[in-house]
Amino acid sequence: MRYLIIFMLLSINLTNGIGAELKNILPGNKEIDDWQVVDSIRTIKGNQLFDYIDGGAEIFVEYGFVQAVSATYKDNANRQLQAEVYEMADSAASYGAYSFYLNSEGQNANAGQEAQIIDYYCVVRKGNCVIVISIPQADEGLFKSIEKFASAIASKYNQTNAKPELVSKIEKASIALGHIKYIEGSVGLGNIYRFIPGSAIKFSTAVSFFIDKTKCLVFDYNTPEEANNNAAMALQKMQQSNPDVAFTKTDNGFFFTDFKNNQVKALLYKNYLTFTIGKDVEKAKIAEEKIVEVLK
Amino acid sequence: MPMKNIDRRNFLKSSLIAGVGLAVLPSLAKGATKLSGSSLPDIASIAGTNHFQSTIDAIEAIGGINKFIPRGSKVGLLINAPGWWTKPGSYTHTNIVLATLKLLNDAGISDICYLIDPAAEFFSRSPLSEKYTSLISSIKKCSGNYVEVNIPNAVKVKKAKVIKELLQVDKLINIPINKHHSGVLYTGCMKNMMGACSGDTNKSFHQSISKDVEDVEHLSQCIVDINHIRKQDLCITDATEVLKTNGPFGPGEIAKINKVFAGSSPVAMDAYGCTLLDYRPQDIRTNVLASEQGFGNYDLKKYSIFEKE
Repeated sequence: MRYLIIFMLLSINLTNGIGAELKNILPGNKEIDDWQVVDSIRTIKGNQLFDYIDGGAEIFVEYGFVQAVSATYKDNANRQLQAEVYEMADSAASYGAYSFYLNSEGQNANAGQEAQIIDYYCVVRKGNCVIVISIPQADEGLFKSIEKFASAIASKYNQTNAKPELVSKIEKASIALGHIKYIEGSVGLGNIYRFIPGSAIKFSTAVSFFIDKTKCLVFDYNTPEEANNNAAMALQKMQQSNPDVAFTKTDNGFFFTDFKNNQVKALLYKNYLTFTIGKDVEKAKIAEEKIVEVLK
Repeated sequence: MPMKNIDRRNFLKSSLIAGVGLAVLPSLAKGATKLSGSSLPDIASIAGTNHFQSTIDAIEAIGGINKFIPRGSKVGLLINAPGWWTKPGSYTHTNIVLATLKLLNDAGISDICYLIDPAAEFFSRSPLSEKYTSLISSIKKCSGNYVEVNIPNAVKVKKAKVIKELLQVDKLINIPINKHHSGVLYTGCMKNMMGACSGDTNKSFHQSISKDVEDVEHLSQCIVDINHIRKQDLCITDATEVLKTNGPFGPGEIAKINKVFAGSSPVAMDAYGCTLLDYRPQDIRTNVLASEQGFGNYDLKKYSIFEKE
C-alpha cells in the first residue's frame, strides 16, 4: 500500500510537469509514429539559454525563464522536426512568451485550448510552459505530425491556463481583433511599438492588441498617480529625444504624429495609460472609447 | 515604406537598364554610373528568386570581387549559418555562399577559411552544391581556437575572445542574414561579428539583460565595440527569406524580400538592410552608436545605392 501511494505521488508529479525532469515531457523514439530522436534531448537552464538561442533569449528572460528542453527528430523518410518546451516562471510569463509567437495567419491546432499552427510551426501554451514544434520549411504533409507532437506533449500536463487579468478583461469584452499580446518589459514593447527613446515608458505590465486597424496599448499601474507620473515622464523624454516632432497636450494625455504618419494618442484613465496608434483618427477615437468602456 | 526613402537617394534606377538581361549587369552598372555622373555604387541590391545570380550581380555591380579581395589574399568567411540556426529565415541562404565561393575561385583566390563553421547540413540544403563539391571541400574549417584581444577604442568591451583566424586573414567577407532580433530589433553585418567571438564573450553582452531598456543599449554598444577589432572588407547580406518577427532564433513570420545586397561599409549596409524590415536607420541603436563612434554614417542619403528590381 505504501509503495502504491509513493507511485501515485510520483505519477501526479510527472503528469503535472512540476518537479519532474522536463526532458521526460518530450516523446521518446517511435513514441509518435516512426519519429526518432536525433542525438539526444537537450536541457537548457538559466543563462544557458543565451548559448541555445543567442539573441532570442532576451524576451524569455524578460518574462522569467526557468528551463527548456529541445530535441530534433527524424522519420523514416528522413524528414526533420524540432520540439522545444520552455518552462516559464508563472502562467503570466508563459502567456506573454506564447503571445509573441502568434500572428494573424494562425489557425487553431488540435492540441489544446491555446494552440495555433502557423505556416511551418505549432505553438501551444499549457500551464507555465510554451511548446514549440517546427519544421525546416512549410510542408503540409507534416502538419499532422506537428499536431501530434504538440498534442502528445501538452497532454502530459494537467495545469490550467490562467491568463493575466488585463488580458482576460479585454478578451471578455471581445473588442480585440485577433490575439492579445502581454508585455512585461522594454524588450517586448520594443517589438510591438518603438517609442523613442526606448526607455520612454516605465511599466511592469501592459497589453497590446488591435481594434480594427488601430494598434492599442494599455499600460497597467498600481495607482492613478503612478500612471500620471509615468505619462508625464514619457512625454518629457519623448519631447527631448524628438525635437522635430510636435507633441500636443490634452486634458488627460497627449498626442503626436510618428514618422509613419500614425497618430499616437496617449490617454490617462484611472490607473491606466492607453495609447491608440493609427492613421485613421476617427477609427482610433472609436478604439479609445471601446478601451475606456472595458477599463471602467 | 523603404522604397520611398530610396527615391530620395542617389541611386541608379533599375529602369536605366530595363529590358536587359542580368548576365550583362556589370557593364550596364558601369554604364549607368556614367549616366548618373558618379562612381560605382556603395551598395548594390539585386532582387530576384535566383539568389546565386543575385549575389554575383550585386558584387559585380559594386566593382567585382577583386576590388575588395586581391588575388593571393587569405580570406575569412563569416557566414551566419551555424548549427543552432535551424528555423526558416534564421540562416544565410546556401546559394549566396556558393556564389561567393565561385567568384573567389574564378578570381584565383583559394586560401579561404571559415571563421565560424556552417551547420553540418548547410551545403546539402541546396542542390547546386553538387556542382561545387571540390570547391566546398577546399574551404578550411574554423580552428575553434580563440585568442584574447584588447579593444582600446571600445566603450564597454575592452577585451574579447575571438577566433584566431579573424586576426590572421588578410580579408574578411561577412555574409549575414538580414533578420529581426528581439533585443536590438535588427541583425545584419555589425551584429554578425559576434559569430567570430567566443560564447563566453557573447554571453557577457547579454547577461545583464533585465527589465531595463538600458540593457538593449548595452548589447548595442557591445556589438559596436567588437566591430573595432577589424574591418569588414566585403559584406554580402541575405535578404531573401528572413525572419520578420521572433528573430533571431524563430520560429516567426517570414518576409520574402528576395534581395541580396553587397557593399563594404557595415553601417551603410545595416542602415539599408533595416529599411527592408520597415525600420528607419536611426531606429536601430547599433547604427546610431556606430555612426557616432566613427564607423560610417547611417544616413542613406550619403550613399549611392544601386537597386535592380
